[in-house]
Amino acid sequence: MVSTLIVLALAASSLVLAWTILRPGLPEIRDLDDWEAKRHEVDLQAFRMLLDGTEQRYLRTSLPPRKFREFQRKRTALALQSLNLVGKNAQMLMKLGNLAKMGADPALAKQADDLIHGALRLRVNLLLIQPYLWLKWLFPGGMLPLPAFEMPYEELAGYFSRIRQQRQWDLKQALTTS
Amino acid sequence: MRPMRLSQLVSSILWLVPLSLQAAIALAILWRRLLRVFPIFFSYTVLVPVRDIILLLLPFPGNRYSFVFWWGDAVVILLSLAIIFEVLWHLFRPYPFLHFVFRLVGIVAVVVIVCTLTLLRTGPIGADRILESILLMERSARVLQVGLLVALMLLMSRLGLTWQHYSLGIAAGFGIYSALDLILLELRGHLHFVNYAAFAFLGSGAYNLAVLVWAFYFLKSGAGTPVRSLPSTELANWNAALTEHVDKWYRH
Repeated sequence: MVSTLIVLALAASSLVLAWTILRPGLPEIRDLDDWEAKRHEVDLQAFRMLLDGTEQRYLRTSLPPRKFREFQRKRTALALQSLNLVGKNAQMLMKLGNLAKMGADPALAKQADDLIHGALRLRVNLLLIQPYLWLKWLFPGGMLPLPAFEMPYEELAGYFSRIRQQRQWDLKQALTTS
Repeated sequence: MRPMRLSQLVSSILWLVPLSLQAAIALAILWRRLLRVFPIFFSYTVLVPVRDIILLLLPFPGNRYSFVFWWGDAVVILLSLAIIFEVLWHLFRPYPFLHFVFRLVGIVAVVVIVCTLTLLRTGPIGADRILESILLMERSARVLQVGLLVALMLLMSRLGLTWQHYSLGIAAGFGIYSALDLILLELRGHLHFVNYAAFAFLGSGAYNLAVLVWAFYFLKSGAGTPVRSLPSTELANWNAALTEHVDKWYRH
């Protein structure tokens, strides 16, 4: 029965995802005018302020804890909203870049590739940053240090370096005693 | 007499529609010079109707019919698994920085699928053990396929790759067909809720749905008119700001 439920859940999620990618989620982008009309204006400086650590420390010291958490949650929600709009912009730009690549101009195609590349990079960054902000919204009072992706590699490299140094030191010791 | 005729008519339509549409899709792939981009999907699109036509010419029931049917089915499932990797390759090859995400998702998908397949190791229990064994094997292959498709579609939706319309059509079509087929296999092979006639009829309907999705994406007129210039954007600044936060939060 458990296996049946797993299989049915997997199949249902496949159907839901197929619907998600098929439904028209974005406004149609056919040319530059469409982009100008449909893009979302998002202020980068305002976004920086929303996530600024100094600002957060100042608010923590100047507001009562409950008020601070309330305020912090609003700031995080706004930041998430901004990122959502930026993500939509990036998606529209990818579509625009794809349309530019269809033309015969190689310089424009290169420019379009760069645009798609930048927009995709932004979407990857959003994938990394959004879960953190959801956690921050859930726990507005806490500082959330998260484990690093690179840390295991750095630790591993440090470990091997220490082993190498130890072996060199052992070799030196052996040579001097002999 | 009348319902019999109606069911025959519906079966014929369900058989003929994908046959003709897949021939048209194959021609569209050749016409739009997409053969190099999607060679495995093209092979699949050609193989399935050819197998159906061969089956029509063979006497049923018979050894040769069973041989072509089941071996054809195995090849079709293998090809449909390969198509998922073809789409993934097509989507991620141009972006080296995404290879890490691709590998990560691949590893997670494989681990999840292996766990699921381990849970699904149940032997046949009904009267027709050979048929049930085949259905259970097909179910395992479909679980693998649906698992990979879920990972693929999740990535497409999260990374906003839905403008890649041929890849989108292929993934969505397979996503719908594999999911419905898996549900039917579960209802037939494991829960014994549907008889063979209903299983064949609904399976054929699910395949028709997938072919309609592929046809929509491959047969509709071009993806749009090319634009002549691109806007200046703040993408670099946003990327710098977000990378700064990602560095601060994930790397310390």
